[in-house]
Parts: sequence; structure tokens; C-alpha cells
Amino acid sequence: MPIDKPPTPYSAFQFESTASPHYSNFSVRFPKTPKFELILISADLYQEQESHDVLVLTFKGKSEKDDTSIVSSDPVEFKYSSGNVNSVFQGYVYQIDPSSTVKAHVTEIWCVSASAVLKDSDQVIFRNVTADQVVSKIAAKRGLTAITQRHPRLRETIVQAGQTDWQILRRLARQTGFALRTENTTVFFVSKDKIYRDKKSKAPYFLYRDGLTKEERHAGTCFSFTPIISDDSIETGVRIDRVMTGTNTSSGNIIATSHNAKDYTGVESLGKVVPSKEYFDAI
Amino acid sequence: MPSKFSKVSSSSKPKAKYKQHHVHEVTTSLTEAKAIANDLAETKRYAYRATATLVGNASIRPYDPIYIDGVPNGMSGCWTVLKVTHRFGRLPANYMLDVELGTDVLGEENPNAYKTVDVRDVNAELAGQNIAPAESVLVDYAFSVNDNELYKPPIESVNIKPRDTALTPDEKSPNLYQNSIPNFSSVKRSTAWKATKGNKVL
Repeated sequence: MPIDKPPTPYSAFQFESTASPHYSNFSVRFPKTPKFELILISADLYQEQESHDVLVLTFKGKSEKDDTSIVSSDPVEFKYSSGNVNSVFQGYVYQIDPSSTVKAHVTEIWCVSASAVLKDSDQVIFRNVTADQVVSKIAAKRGLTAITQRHPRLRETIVQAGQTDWQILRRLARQTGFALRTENTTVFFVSKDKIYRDKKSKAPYFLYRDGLTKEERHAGTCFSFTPIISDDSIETGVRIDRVMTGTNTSSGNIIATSHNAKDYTGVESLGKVVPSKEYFDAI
Repeated sequence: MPSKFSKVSSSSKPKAKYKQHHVHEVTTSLTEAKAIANDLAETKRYAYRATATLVGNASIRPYDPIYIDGVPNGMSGCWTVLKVTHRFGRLPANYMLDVELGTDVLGEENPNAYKTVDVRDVNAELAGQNIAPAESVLVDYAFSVNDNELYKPPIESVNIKPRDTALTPDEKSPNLYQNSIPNFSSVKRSTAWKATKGNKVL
């Protein structure tokens, strides 16, 4: 009886070879629990603009000994590499989820980045400051470092009235259009163009190869590419409320606006302009 | 009250009636108005969006530019990463990226992009404008109240009913710390990552 050829393991792919420039590796360490013994089988690291990094680790089995167990807020360090590039995620354990299925016992551990300490709230009035100065002050208060770019607008006051530090940073980022992101204990608050200009000349290169079979498509380094096609412009069509006025870019004059005449006579409720709640909450 | 920037005057019949105006930012200076307009325009960037699955690259972060070549319909070129998920230990590759991309213009192609290599930006480092993250260190570190050892009560445990009060030490609820006082000096409130600059913890 012929034996079916076993499926090709994924390590056979070209970029999985240790000689390949795309060879990758990853490992995790819990400094407070050096004897942690579960085997790491997979990990997902989520990074998003204006958000803290989130790491989800999946281990085989469940921890049953006291000296190998971990609890929320324990520190965690996750190292990963591809080719010659090494990166590290440093943060805290947020949630531990041991779950059992018919197939296996696994433990999922959710971690948040070290910048999560910005969740604490405060009441502060910053006077005569620019947005980047506020970011630097808040970062220093929490033992973080800030990489900022000078914003031209000097404001009389910026009020933090009980919001969390992160909410203030997000508000400033959305008012200024600056990029806000965190990496371990560093807060970045710089213009999007600065990041683009600094990194464009050495931007990572990916090649998309079209083909009928999976093997043909996997010959490239971009496995799939899907444009988002929609009538709604994500940024301009949904979130923006309405333009009240503006300036003429050529003459510098303020543009006068007018509204179409509409007869409300006899209408019981005149109605009111209710802006998009999502937009103003975000700011 | 009608807007000063509207042609609607208080003397003429109002062309439209609003019970409420939600004005987010007010300024009296043209320069500042321009700055606010520029900032808002900056917020509404990346009209073209796409998602992609890429081979793993540990250097990619949100807002970083990447170059994708070979995409049909004139969509090859530089894209900005808006969201990235690094996936490890999955198929078909050990390390993959799921990215959400955005760009303001399509077709910004560079025929020499494939020659790109990762290099240090020495000029930016010397000018103090490097956007590389700082080092971190773990501080306020402690295992337990007794210096890396689990605390063992010196007496045998006793059965205490839920109704019994343990406020006053007695035979049923003795003071566990009477003869062996834990070393609270090593107990820290939290364990935290802190940024460092040189050898100094910030």
C-alpha cells in the first residue's frame, strides 16, 4: 500500500532557512518567574496607531506549581527577530486565560506594553505650553521617555480634568495631526511626515507575486494584498462633522459661509445641529 | 447668536436656525486658524487603504513606510503602515505580518527600492533627532516579603468559622506575625519598566 507523501513542513519555505535573510525567532521571559516552564507555541503582537501594544502568548499546558505561576501585573519581556533585526516587547501581564478543549490544554496570556502606566488619571492645568511639551511632561511623570517634535502652536491652557494621561495624549495627537505611538517605555509624538521622511529611503521592500497556486504566490514576500474599496472615505466621510468656515489659501482671507434658506415656519421642533458623537468623543 | 463669519446678520431674517453650535476650537488669529486647519488636514490623511499579509519583519511599526512591488492596478509603491499584527508560530510561515496600509497618493514608485538595506541613520543620531526608542530597565523588583522565599507561618492552621472575628488575637485566631515578623523593607508597591538615558533611570 503506498504511503502518502507527508505534507511539507512550513520550515521548508525559503524564508524559514537559518541562512535566509528572513529567518525569524521569538522567545519570552518572565523576570519575576524565572522557573516558568510552559512551552510557548504561538504569539501575536498587535501594534496600532494611538494605541498601546498588546501581546497575546499561547502556551501549551497549564501551570500547576506555585513557583512557576504568574499573576497579573508581572513583568514580561518578549524578544523577536527576523534576519539581523532584533526587537523586544517589554510590558506587563494583563490577563491569564487557561482554557481546555478536546484537543489540548492551552494557556493564553495577554500582556500590555510598559506604556500602559499612562492609564492613570490626573487633574492638571498646563499653561503657555505647546502640545509636545505636555507630552514630555506627562511621560516624565510616569518614568517614560518622550521623543517629540516641536509643534508651532503655543496654547494658553491645556486642561487635564480627570482624564487619563493616555486620553490627553490621544486628544493632542488628534488635534495636531501628529503621530502618537508607544514602544516599551518610549512615547513618540512627532509629525507623520518626519517618520516618513526619515524612514522612506530604507523602507522594507516586499514583492507581490501573482499566481494560480499557493506555491507561486508564496514565492514573493507579500502573500496577499487587498485594497479597501468603499464609497465612504474612512477619514473624511465618516468622522468629519461639517465645515463651518475656513481660510482662502491664496488670499488668506476668511471664507464667509452661508446656508441655504429653509423655511421652518410651522415646524414644531426646529431641530439642532448634533455633531457626530464619535468624532467629538475622540477629540 | 449668529456666527461672525457668516453672511447672516442679526438685522436680517435668519437663513437658518440652529439651537446649538458645537464649536471645538476658537481663534482670533489668522495664523493660528491656518495652523488649526493644517492640523485637521493632517489628521484626515491616508485616503487610500489596503490590507496585506507579509513575511515577518521585526523592524516594522505603525507609521513606518514600506515599499510593496508587483501589485497590479498601479498600486505598487510606498505605503504607510497604520496597524500591524506580528504573528509567530503560525502557518504558512513561522513569522508573518498582517498590516493595514494607507497612502495619500498611489503610484509613487521607485525602481531602485529593492536595493534598500537596513542602515543606521548616523546623521540623525548625531543631531539628536533619532527616533529610535530608549532602553528600559526593570525597577522596584521583589519576589516576596521574605527575600525570595515564600512565607511559612510558624504555627499550625486552625479551623476558623466564618462568623469568628480575627481582630483580637486569641487561641483560635492567633497573630501570625507575632514571632516571625516578615521583612517588609524589601516589599515594593509595584514592579515597573522605566526608561533609561545613559545609565540614569528616568
